[in-house]
Amino acid sequence: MIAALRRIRREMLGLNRRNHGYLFAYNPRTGYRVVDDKRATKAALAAGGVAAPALRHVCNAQWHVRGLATRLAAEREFVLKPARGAGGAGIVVIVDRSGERFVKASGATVGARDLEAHACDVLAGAYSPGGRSDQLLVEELVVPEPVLGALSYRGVPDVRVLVFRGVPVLAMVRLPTRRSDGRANLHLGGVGVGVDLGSGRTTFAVSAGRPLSMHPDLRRPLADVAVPAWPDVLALAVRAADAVGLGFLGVDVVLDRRHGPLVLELNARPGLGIQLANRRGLRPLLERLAAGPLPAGASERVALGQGLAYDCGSSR
Amino acid sequence: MIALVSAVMGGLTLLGAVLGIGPLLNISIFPMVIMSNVIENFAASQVELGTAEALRMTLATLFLSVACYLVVDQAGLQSLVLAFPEILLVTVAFDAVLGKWRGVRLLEYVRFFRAVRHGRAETGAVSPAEAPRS
Repeated sequence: MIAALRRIRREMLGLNRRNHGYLFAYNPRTGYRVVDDKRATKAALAAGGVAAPALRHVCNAQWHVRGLATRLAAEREFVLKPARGAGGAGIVVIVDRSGERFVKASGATVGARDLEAHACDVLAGAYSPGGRSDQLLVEELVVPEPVLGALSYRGVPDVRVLVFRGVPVLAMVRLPTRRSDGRANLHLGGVGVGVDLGSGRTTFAVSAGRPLSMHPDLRRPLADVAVPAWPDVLALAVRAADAVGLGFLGVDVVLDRRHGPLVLELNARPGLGIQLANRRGLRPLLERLAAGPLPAGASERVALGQGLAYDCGSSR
Repeated sequence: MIALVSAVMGGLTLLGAVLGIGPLLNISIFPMVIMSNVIENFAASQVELGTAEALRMTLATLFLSVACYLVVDQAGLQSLVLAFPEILLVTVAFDAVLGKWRGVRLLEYVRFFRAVRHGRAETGAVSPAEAPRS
């Protein structure tokens, strides 16, 4: 008991230390501006040559909403996203058409008028922090590849990679559940599964802070699943971190059936639940990387991160 | 809502003064405004977060206000603050110190406890993560 508390104090990264020791110290203000606006993120990623879901349309004024609906009428599947939305709020996923109507991921259908109304809400800032006016992005739909797709309940699973000073430190797969309503965010009820950086195989699963071995809805085992294209996922995460110039961030990578790994979004204030899914604290890893120069090449930094997981392996 | 309540309160006070109705002047405005503020927040969170969450938040507010009342109601504390008002500045210093604190929060001990416990329990088990080490 006492030993466990001591280990928490020594190894686990808490919110206060994350904010003071890492966010303030390693993330420049300009980086936040890029990461908090999905359109700016896309531009930065494109400039850095990092693959991301294609941007189809942007709607940035109420008087463009009508035109948007006509353009969407030509599309079969797409995703509507507020540029500043956080935590998956305001995202509408259209997977098919049924006559004039659009079929949502949940199976419900909506008409063009509903989408227009949603677009107006987004532009008025219904989903942006502080209610500031916002832009609406229409993105290509990500179709998950089968391995992680089979472990997801109606939604797109992603891989969250925590990158510190350009080195991948911890990773977890985030799986949507019935409770999380197709979204992969842990605080919405998604399942987090730790991934061993070296082998790319899943380790422990956690949901709402509790360990679990099966997907709660699909009853499939979650441990020891090999994440497809694992080296590419890590390399992509590292290049995404380089592209936006943040020192401490979470990179969300999706595995698309056709295009392979794509960067879905970046998070400049990554949550700490990743420590639960990996059952190890971040501090020994981060402190090892905080001092001294790091290799310049992206692949060397990926290798460094993979090696680190074993060097600091005493925490297991 | 708050504007409405304030207007009604102002009107009542005026009415009491003009017509000379004593009791109307005795209704104090602060509790009413604070209550209307609470109600407004309750309604807003009920719409946005659901009734259960709104109730939970209201109960937490109630609990905290009762706790604060019990502390502030101490006669000793009251005379101490009245005698040395600069004590109030100590809270600023306390806030600054708290802001500098980088350790693990109490609730985080609870949150991380299971992870550390389970991580230890499985030291002997063959974990897929350990295989490439050898």
